[in-house]
Amino acid sequence: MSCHAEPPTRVGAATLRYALVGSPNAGKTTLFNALTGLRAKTGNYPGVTVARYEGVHRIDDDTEVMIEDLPGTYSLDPISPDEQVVAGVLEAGASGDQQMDGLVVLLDATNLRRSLGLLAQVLQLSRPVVVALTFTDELARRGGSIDVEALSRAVGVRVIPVIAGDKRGVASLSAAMADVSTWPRPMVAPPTDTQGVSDWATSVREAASFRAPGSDKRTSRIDGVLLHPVWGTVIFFATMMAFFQVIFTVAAPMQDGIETFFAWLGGVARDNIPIAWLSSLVADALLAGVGGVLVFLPQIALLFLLISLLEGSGYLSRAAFLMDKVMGWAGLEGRAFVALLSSMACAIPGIMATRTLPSAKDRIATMMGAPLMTCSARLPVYVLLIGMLVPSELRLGPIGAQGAIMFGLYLLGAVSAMTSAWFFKKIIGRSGIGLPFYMEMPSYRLPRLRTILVSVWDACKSFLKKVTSIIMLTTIIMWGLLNFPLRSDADLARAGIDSQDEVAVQAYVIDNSLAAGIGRAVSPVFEPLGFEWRINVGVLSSLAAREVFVSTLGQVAAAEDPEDPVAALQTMTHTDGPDAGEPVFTPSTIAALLVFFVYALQCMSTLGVMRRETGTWKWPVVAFVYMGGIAWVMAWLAKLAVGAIV
Amino acid sequence: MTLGEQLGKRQCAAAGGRTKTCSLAELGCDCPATIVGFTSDDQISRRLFDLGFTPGELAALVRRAPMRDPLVFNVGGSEIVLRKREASRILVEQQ
Amino acid sequence: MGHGMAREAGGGGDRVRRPIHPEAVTDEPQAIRWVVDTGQLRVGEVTHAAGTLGPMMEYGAITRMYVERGSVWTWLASEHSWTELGPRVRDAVVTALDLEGWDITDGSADLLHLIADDVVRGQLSSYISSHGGQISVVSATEDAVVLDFGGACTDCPAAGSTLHDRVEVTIRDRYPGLKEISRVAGADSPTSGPRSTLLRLIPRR
Repeated sequence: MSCHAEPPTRVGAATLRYALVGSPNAGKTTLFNALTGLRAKTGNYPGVTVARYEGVHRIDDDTEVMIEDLPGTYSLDPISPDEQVVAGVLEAGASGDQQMDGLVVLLDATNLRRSLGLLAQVLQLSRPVVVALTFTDELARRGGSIDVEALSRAVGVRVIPVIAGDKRGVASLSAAMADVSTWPRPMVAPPTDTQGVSDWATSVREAASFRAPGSDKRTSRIDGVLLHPVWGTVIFFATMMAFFQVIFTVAAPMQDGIETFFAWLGGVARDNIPIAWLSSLVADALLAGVGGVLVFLPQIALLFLLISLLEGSGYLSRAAFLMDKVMGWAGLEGRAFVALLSSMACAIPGIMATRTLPSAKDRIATMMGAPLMTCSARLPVYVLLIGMLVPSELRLGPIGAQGAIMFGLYLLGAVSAMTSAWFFKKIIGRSGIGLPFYMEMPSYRLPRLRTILVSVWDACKSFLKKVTSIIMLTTIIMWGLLNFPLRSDADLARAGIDSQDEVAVQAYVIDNSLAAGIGRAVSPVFEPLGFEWRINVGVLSSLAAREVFVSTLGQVAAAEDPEDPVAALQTMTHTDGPDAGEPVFTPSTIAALLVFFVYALQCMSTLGVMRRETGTWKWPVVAFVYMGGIAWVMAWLAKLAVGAIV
Repeated sequence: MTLGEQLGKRQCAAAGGRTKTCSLAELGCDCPATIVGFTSDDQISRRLFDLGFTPGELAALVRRAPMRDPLVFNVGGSEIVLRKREASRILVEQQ
Repeated sequence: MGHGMAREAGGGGDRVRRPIHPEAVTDEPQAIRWVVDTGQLRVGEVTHAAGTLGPMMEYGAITRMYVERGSVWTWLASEHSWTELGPRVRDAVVTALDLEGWDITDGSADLLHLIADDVVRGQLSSYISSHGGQISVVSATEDAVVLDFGGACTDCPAAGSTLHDRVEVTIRDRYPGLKEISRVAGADSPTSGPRSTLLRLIPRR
């Protein structure tokens, strides 16, 4: 990209570039998808955590144009660094990019006055403009009307009505984009001062015979129920619980399926590759790595499907409205609720969902809190450890003790997430004017299938592209640490291990691996928490993904009792040191381990997604370090507390 | 001067010498009131203006959240959620 | 306080406010028709304008001006551009509409021609073409317009009359001095000749 000041020369049929400008909820995303389909690529604008959507639109077989979907905005008077970016792109082209050839401004026919305000601002730029008038069908449904041609004459630019699902509007728009020189321009730009632009908008609406729509009766009736102080809250919580039920009942079997499939593939690899270490590399590192990436997909896809449905229908803003006060206690706003809620299934879509927050500070603060929400990967660990801590028959009054502890851990996670978000909101950046909270509640609409599918596809694709490498790398490294140095048959014989006994071999390899060496080396750090070096190995391995802790410990324990690893873990004793002979998994140690897992950021994929969303390694590193530190402190406190009680 | 800077110079009219004005946050009922101005002339007021809370338009309270905050207003054909703090910047005159 | 106008109190001074917006005039790049409530001003050609518009006319920046019911037409001298003078003219128009000092002729053939043109080519153009019609302005005097009803209108007097009435009402709305609209069929249409004379003798409602 050249950074010269002279205007870019166009050689022959160079691709024209258009930008879509409009307020959120004006139908911009739907139009963008209709124009570009799946041919869109996402990235970030330089220097900010704002996602950038660019796509190719094919007008006919020979002509293609580039379309950039600018973030929804109510005004070109920027109130945040994010909006500054949009203003910058519109005015000159951001850092080396070419100027836009034409601007497509979306006007919402049901919100004409406000939309005209934005149009008046865009018309100051003296770039060719064409207006896409959306929701004319809803305008009619609500008893309003407008003369589109008169509107066109009044504003001085062409106005093309565009209705979602109706190809004609898009076709007209497409034809217009073929030749920007035919676009009419206003004789005089509208005034920018507040009174002047109000008068201009009033005059335009009158000239266009605009009859304002009545209130949307359907939406009002639905809101009467969904936002009822009592019923609304009940329905809301029921919806959230249903949200989770779906995730666990639908995604979980799919994930199990993927895991089983890759385990089978691993078995095939092991059976067919003669060289031991190579077959292990393929089965346990490569295949396990790929499987470890793909296993996230059902959850991400399903979560984005649900979020997209909620957002497209309009219910998401209702949820944000109901939760805004509670989020406010953490210094956040209602929309952060969705991100945190999604994180209860998996932090990855939760972190990606922070894109809906207009404030960069809010986004980062929410991202710092999201991993503390109890994600589904922690569940196998919790189940294992709680099972060792408390027998299933134990009851606290009417409630099972195991269930109570599980609930307590979820609660701890949620409270910690909120506290952490609050803390980061306070310390991030210079304190300027905080962004005021405002949010539009759109009419209830039936979300378009295409928009939803595109959203899900986009989320999965960006996850796969950016996170695969991190997960693969971590898995291979962990594999290396756990399996090297390689043991030959002679080494095994010397140690008195029967090389045919796979379980014993595996146990020996792990016990004497690099990972074990690291585990022993870091014992001074973890000793106050009551972690023995084998637990350290498990914790280390969980850095790839939390559930790996269970399988690693399982491998260690299976060496001693292949039939009942849990029993083996419970009777495992310290091999050396001051506690030699004492059980490893004492109640206080288990408690410390549980609390450690509540806080520690052990998921490399989460770090990868944070990096992608913030555009820098700074925040993932900060999160990793601070969460690790808190994990240590809280685990230690837990150990002391439980040690005192039991 | 960039467009952003130019737009930043806009002035949001203060109500100036009218009686019977109260802020949007104080509206007790759901009857429409005419917007007459803002309590202060700054970026937040300009944003409220751009959201549709323009002097001369009618605004009405639609509902409150369970804990009395935030509030939903109907203005210019759309429903906008504002916290009490922001709503109290908007001055209205009841019919 | 005039109709359709308000004075802004406090804030940015005592500026007059009126809803107003500019519209282009077909084939006249130096002209703008300012759509604004003209109140009781007479409809016709402006020989002397009130307020700051007056000097603008005198010094030749504005070469022509008309007032119709609901618009002010202005032409800029060719050495000026609307980008440069647009906002000033707009503000001047808004202020001037409140002031005394307007000298406007009682009707103007040129203005009526312009209005009729705007109606058939702009305002009612899609209405006309949806009826299969194709109307153009042949000539205009101070109180009458001659239109050429081409297209389907020529074959169907009934439809033609509805269209005719609509056009007449629309023009009269803007130019109250309109007394009659006469039709002239196209040169190659079957109803030219005696038939068209017959139609003209039928009294208009």
